[in-house]
Amino acid sequence: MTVKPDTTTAASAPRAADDAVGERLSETWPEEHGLWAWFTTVDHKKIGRRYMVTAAAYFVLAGVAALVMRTQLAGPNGDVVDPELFDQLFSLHGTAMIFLFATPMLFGFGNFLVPLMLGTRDMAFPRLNAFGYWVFAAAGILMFGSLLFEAAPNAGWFAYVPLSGSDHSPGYNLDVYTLGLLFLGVSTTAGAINFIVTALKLRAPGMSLNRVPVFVWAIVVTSFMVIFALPPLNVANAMLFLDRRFGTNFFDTAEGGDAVLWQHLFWLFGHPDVYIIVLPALGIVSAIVPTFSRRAIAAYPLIVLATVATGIISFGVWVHHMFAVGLPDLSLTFFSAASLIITVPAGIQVFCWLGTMLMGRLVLNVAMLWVLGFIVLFVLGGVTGVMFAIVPFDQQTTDSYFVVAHFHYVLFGGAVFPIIAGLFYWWPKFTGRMTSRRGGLWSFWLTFAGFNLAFFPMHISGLLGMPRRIYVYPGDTGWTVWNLLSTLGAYLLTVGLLVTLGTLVHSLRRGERATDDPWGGETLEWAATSPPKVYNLPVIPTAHSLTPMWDERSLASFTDGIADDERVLAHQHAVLRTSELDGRLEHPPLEMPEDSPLPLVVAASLFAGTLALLLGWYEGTLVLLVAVAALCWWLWPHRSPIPEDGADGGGGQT
Amino acid sequence: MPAPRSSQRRLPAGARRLGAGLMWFAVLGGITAWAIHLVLAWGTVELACTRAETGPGGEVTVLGMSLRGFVAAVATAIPLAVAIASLIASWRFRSRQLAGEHRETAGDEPRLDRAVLMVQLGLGLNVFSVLMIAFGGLAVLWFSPCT
Ligand code: HEM
Repeated sequence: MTVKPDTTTAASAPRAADDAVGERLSETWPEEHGLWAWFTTVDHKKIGRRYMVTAAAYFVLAGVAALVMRTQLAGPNGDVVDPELFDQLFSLHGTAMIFLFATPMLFGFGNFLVPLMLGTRDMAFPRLNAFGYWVFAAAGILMFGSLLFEAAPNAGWFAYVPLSGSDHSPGYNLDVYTLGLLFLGVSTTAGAINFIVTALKLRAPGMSLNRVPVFVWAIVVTSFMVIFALPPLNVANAMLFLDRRFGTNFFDTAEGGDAVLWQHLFWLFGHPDVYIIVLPALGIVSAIVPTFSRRAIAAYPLIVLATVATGIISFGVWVHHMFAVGLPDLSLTFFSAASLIITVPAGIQVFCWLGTMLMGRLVLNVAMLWVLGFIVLFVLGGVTGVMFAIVPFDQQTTDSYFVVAHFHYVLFGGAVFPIIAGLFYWWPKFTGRMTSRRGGLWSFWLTFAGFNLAFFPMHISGLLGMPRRIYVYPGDTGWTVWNLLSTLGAYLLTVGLLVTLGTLVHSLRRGERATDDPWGGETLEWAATSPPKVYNLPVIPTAHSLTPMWDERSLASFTDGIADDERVLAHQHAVLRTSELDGRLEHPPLEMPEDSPLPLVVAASLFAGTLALLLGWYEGTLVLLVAVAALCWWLWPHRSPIPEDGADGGGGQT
Repeated sequence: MPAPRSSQRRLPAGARRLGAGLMWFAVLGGITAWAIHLVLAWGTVELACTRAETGPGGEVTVLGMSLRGFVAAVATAIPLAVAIASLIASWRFRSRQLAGEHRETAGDEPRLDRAVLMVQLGLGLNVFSVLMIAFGGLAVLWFSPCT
């Protein structure tokens, strides 16, 4: 069993290495300032922070939409918004929370942390990384901007046909949805490929698969899921756009199309997507629990198994979203079997965390409190999830508020709580500042209470028969009190989230300076300075265990590496390559590209092309030629690759 | 980096490749069999019930076999057999070869430790796969197709 050592003298090894070689490294990895640098940076940490800040801004916007809805539903026959706006609010809220907040926020964590945890200096494709961010930011502007023109998506976040077809939904609303998601998909796919290649090729020497942090496993599994799950969604959206704009009949049953095809394609993406959101969040939990239990994660192989199994099995459960469609019983049962089994890995993870806490020495830090809150809510959401796997129960409660309660417990409890836990945990690393414990405690308890008050009563209103997506309800249904409680809860939740934001902003301005490793963490990001320098780690260490910051040999490799040019790599803007399974060193190092405006140019022209397509100005799509030209320039082999002996020489422009 | 174990160095290339192939089968065989089971069983039921090709007794048929017979034999029993074979392979890998050697060299053989992890993953995935296919098989026996 690996436990955190009590003495941390060895933990100063990375700092000693930084003192010795940091200056030389700053010349090859310079810190750029100014507006040009802001637009052209490809540094994974800056991009990661940007992802997080932008996703948080989209969370606020989607949250405001939710608050308006809850105000409307506070009592019977509410008249705050009209039905057209209400349709747009719940559709935009759901779409944005899923696509523009949860996944990008977790990609932000991944961007910042994965290279650090792996002991490398950047993502494998830094320019692709910057490109992904700009596309994501623009997709959000498109989606939220559409609300100003009353053209926001309005057929729910899963946009079922025939409602989303042009007969029932004229106007730009659903075109914004289809094109917006197609455009955003470019970013998500690029990000996923980048994570996979980074994790397979750029790990520190010695970091065989059994020494990879659980958070990285989670990000990699999620990335594979994105690569397999997005194509069905993209195909569905492309077909819907063609049906709506150019009169094809993919989903038109009267013309030989198939409306149920949309549901299959959507949920073939949609269910894995729930795990695409939740898995990295669980990875955050698996990073926090060992640090504050002062021992390595219990049953590491089981937790990795749970992550991988969830990723794969989640592709075999999509029909459980369609139990009420009228498919043959036998078909449903195949999916019911997988839906029941997929709860096991989630259970395994919960037991691994509890085991780690029980066998360790628990430190009840603010981040850990958020983790405990997450466990409670996630288990509650899981219990109602198991109920849905029982087909007759699902058929009774489908499309009711019981479902809304369930998925908020899973998504808010299962993703937002770990995200906030992660923010408190890595804030010192992200910003170099500590957060106030008092603020953190207030923020947790207010949010936890507000969340339960907002969403628990929805189980009851759902069981009493309240359908989801209604903008008013009569006063004699028995739903009034539960809705009032939900609305009060939503306001309390907002207060909690504002206190969270306030605590973080306060820390930025007045927070105590953070040391490099304020919590005594076990993974390599804690070897970097807080906040990390551009080059991340002064020396590329050798990972001798799953917990390199707690093991003397791995720590010693920082000081041993000072004299080794290959580990310092001060003469090249390059990173080390290692083998996929065993983390064996490979030659030559991989030259990394410099900052560049190309990612922004390609993203901007792609955005302009998407806008032209949306507005039906087809000549305008010629702007995409700019993207093609920029891509040619981007991919052109400007310099020869590093020769085998590793001498300087430049390389590809990834 | 530690050198490969001497016993492995002695193995001919073909045997090493076979060993690696078996290892990957032990890791991914079951879950692949489950994926094939799901797509084949579900796809056949959906398509056959939509097209409703009926045989002599008024029963829905696929390639001349009764739908239930086809789903039970081709789409369930064969994948189940493959998943069980993969489960046995991972079990044997784990208990006989890796676990024994692992004990001797624990801690200083990243390659071996990594292989142990992979087989453990395979074992778990295989257990899940066998269960899921078996549940699907029970459903085939229980429900009449196309209702
Ligand atoms: C900030 C606190 C939140 C509140 C107060 C809230 C409230 C609501 C409300 C009132 C609805 C509409 C229910 C209906 O009319 O059927 C809704 C729907 C939804 N929410 Fe949230 N929500 C919050 C956060 C989240 C988060 C964090 C996520 C996901 C990560 C999320 C995902 C969804 C989805 C997918 C829908 C369904 C939209 C649809 O019906 O198409 N929500 N939420």
